[in-house]
Amino acid sequence: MNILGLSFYYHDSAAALVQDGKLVAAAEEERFSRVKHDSGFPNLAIDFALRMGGITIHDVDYVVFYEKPFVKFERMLISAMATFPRSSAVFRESMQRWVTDKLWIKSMMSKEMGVPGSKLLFCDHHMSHAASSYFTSPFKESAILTVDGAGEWSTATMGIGRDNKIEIVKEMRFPHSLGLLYSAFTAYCGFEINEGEYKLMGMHPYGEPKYVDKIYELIHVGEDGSLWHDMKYFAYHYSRNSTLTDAFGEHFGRPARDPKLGDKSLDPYYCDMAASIQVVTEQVLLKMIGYLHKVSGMKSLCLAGGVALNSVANFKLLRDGPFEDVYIHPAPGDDGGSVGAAYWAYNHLLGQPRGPALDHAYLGSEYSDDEIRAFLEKNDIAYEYIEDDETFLRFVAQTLADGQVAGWFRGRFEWGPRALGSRSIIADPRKAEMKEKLNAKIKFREAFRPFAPSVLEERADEFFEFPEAQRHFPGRFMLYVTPVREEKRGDLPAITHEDGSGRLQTVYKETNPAYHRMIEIFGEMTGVPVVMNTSFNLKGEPIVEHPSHAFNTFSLSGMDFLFMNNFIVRADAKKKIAETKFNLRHEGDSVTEMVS
Amino acid sequence: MRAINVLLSVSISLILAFVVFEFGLRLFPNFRPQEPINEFHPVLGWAKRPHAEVGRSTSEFDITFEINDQGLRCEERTSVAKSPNTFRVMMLGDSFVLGYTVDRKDLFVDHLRHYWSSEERRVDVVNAGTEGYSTDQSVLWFDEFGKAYQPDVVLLFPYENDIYWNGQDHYNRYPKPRYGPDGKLETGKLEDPGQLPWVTRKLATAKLLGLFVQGLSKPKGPPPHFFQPEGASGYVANEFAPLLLDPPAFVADTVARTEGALEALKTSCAEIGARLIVVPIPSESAIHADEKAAFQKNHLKGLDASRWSPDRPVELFLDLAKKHGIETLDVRSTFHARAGLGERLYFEQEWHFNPDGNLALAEFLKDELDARSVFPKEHAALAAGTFEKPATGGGLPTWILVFGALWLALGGGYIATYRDESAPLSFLKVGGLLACIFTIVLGGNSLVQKLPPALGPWLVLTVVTGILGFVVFKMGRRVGTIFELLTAFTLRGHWYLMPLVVVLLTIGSLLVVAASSPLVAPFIYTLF
Repeated sequence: MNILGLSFYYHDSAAALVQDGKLVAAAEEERFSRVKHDSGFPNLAIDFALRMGGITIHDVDYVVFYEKPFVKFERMLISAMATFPRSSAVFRESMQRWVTDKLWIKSMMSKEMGVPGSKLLFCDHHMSHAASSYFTSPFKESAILTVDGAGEWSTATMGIGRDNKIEIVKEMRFPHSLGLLYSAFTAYCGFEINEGEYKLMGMHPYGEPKYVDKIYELIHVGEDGSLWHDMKYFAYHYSRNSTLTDAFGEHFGRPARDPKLGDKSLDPYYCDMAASIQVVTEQVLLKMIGYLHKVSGMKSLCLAGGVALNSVANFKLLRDGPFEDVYIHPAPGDDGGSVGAAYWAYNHLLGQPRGPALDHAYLGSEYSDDEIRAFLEKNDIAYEYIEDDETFLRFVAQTLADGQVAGWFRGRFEWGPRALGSRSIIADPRKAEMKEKLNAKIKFREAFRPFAPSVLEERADEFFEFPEAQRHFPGRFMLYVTPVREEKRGDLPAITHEDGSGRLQTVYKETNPAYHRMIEIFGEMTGVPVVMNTSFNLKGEPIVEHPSHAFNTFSLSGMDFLFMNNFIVRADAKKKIAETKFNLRHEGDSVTEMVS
Repeated sequence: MRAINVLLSVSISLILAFVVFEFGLRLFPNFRPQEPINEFHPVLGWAKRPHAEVGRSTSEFDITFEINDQGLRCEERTSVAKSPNTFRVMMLGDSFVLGYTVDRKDLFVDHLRHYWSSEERRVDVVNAGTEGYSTDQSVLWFDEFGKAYQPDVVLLFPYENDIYWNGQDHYNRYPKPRYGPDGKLETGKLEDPGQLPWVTRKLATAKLLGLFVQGLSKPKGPPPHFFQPEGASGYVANEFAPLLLDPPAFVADTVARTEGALEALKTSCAEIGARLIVVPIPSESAIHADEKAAFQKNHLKGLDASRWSPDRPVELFLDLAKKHGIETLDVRSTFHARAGLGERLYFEQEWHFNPDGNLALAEFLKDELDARSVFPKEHAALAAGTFEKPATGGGLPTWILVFGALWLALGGGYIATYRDESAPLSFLKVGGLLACIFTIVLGGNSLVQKLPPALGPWLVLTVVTGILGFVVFKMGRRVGTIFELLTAFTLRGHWYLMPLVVVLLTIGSLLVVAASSPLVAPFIYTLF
């Protein structure tokens, strides 16, 4: 049975194909279209998924959309009514999109794909999140928590998964939302919403959580972790341009940071604010899972939704929360909704048995040696090729050990926002200057942003305070920020963040043998089986998908080597290839887009 | 607060839906609210409002009435008194004299004014026609106001429906005076019925509801002012009773009162030394043979053609006038001759004269008045007269002004919305779209005008149906989505959102169609 899951018309359109319970392909449209956070219909991702499944659209049994547009439309109308006439501008703006695109999703899907309406299904937004996590988890039964900005009405749900069924037992509704609260502080600290949240998270170690109490004055938190916002401080439910009211700035005694400053300065006040909202987020989440643990009686937790990208909070939920085990899907945001929608139909709706757990995120496209060679030769790019893997990987490890920065392009690209050793920029984590070099000359991004370590799973607890690291799936997907062991921080200055933490990725021989072996060799050479890993893209660019993207990004940055499969391209081969698609998008979503 | 907001927005959406419905209804001339030209008058029943400026438009005509400060459809006069050495002609009557369906440049009264002016005669023409007046009101107006104008000649233009209404003390909701058979006024001061409620006067929807309620409360038997002649298969309006060769009994009283009114006018004219001439207006069915059959089909169902004659009222007026020694003019032979040459003298759907009919009547009157030496020697023509029509417009055509205003407004709006586009290019785009629309609308309108009036509405209906069909075709699968959405909202208990949803879906559907077709895109994008 073939089920195609889709998410689009928000940020990060995606398509995923589940064949007989196994997730065989999943990819964001942006990888192919080269438009960062592409929200359009994912034609290219669908083509890719079907190709990977070896089928055509006519072989698909059901196409499942990740949310229910009519219910969301209802929320838009009722919210606009409740705040009329202040909401008239946001209503006008959102309705432009709704009446031209979003309302017609069903007919549009049917037309674009040539699929009859009887094959189209719609899954509730938070059910998609819940399903993406639970049905790809290794758990037979589990508590499920989904938290994001807003779905149709829900902004957070608690559920219980048993075998192939999910039951949602509690929900929190718009406009009260932990995700939107976090986004409000993202805007207050001068970052773009739906874009700058991870910057806020990266900024928090530079501050002190001095304003936690003041933040709690804006909200009421129930014993179950449910939130109630005092809406006089928030404007996202009616304003086009602002998530906050003037009362918000007055409450804290300072206006919002000028967004024009971008990432240019680290004002201690806003760093303290970032630290404070991080603490509040973690405390609310802990309350939620505490309650969920109590009512579900489960030992494990599946986490999903955009808030589950807060890897700092994720680890604290594992470490300080009541659950023995936590699973987070590699794409916990709306892109992952496509996977969830497909699994919801397959397992929950059609009653099919569970498939295997998702132990890796390598679900994207890959390119063979022949294809890479053809690209290099067609474009007259000088290269070297080392046929023997071991020799090649030793060369790569030596290059890193020599202080070079390299682009690493190998195997199927990763599902989700993280680069996990298929489309990565890698460097030596032992050299403190690497962080600045990567930020300034290669990624062209702000200096305070941390880099992640890829560590051999079997040696992770040597370097990180992460007991039994191998057992925890989120580590594979770089979804935990754990403390770097104090005694190892000196060995890993480039990946150790201000507060001594690192967002590690545990690398498994079974799922990415070449990357694992390369790190292993690097460890043999240096004594540190860890490499610095960041996504293979420039700031504002989608992660590379095709060799041409990789070469283009390599050419536009200060990288020293490009490794594609066993091909080596040196810096002196850099050049511009005119026909390669290249767009940079730095802006986030508008407030209207965030809530609609 | 939330409840107030919800209430407010539901109200707004209802208002929005209502506005769309109201304006849609106004596309149909019969439902278009009309500003009244008249107001209540305590002696006459009603009279034209001084300074009123009112438009009337149907598929056949689009005109404006401008009433002067003396309540006449004439040029402003500084005083009622006649200037020295001026010969004054006064025209009395109903909507035919008022010119209910034509602008002044096409009205026979003003044709004559221009003609005599071109002959360099010092002739002043007073148009005293008032919509809905029967003979008695024209006579009484003359007594109350007309005498003060000191006309030298008075032309009375009675129409066939005058006969019945001369016998009534109300016309629709207004009271009216009437004369007794002895020529004496029977009614004194009349009661003001007051204005209709604002909604009834101003809203097409109220008019539709009124008709609906009227339909529901239809009584059994003939409605007021209708009767059923023997052998007729339906009810006949009382005002058509004088057309019957064997009229019902009530006609005798109305004829006698008509006679009384004529006698009263004769007496009043004699008092001021004015020459009175009665010129009965023939109906369309009395002139155009094909209209006689149509009239019988529509208004005298089931009656044998031998039982009525469209000439009967004209002959009645002529007989009555002659009986009282009043001069008459009979326009029928002239009109028949022109109709015989293929001229249409009346509007196709409306029953008044069209511009050709007005010109024909003016030419007839000019000839007859000359032939009867109405003008004394001192007012003889000094030059050859012509019936030159006044130059149309004078200044830019209206559509150019509308185009310019829309171009400016929409161009400005476009620039404000798409700030990154250059201003000249924005104006060019908007201008191009507007030009497309104006070409199609004006061209279509011109085509409809050229078609026989009976064909025009069908063509418009066909085009509208075609466009709607095109929209549905282009919507394709989305039609199903609309039904699903409406069902979903109803089942989820959000019926109160329906007006808002319907408006949004309408806009959405149009935008979707616009996006899919360059044929209709200019209309829809300009609309928004």
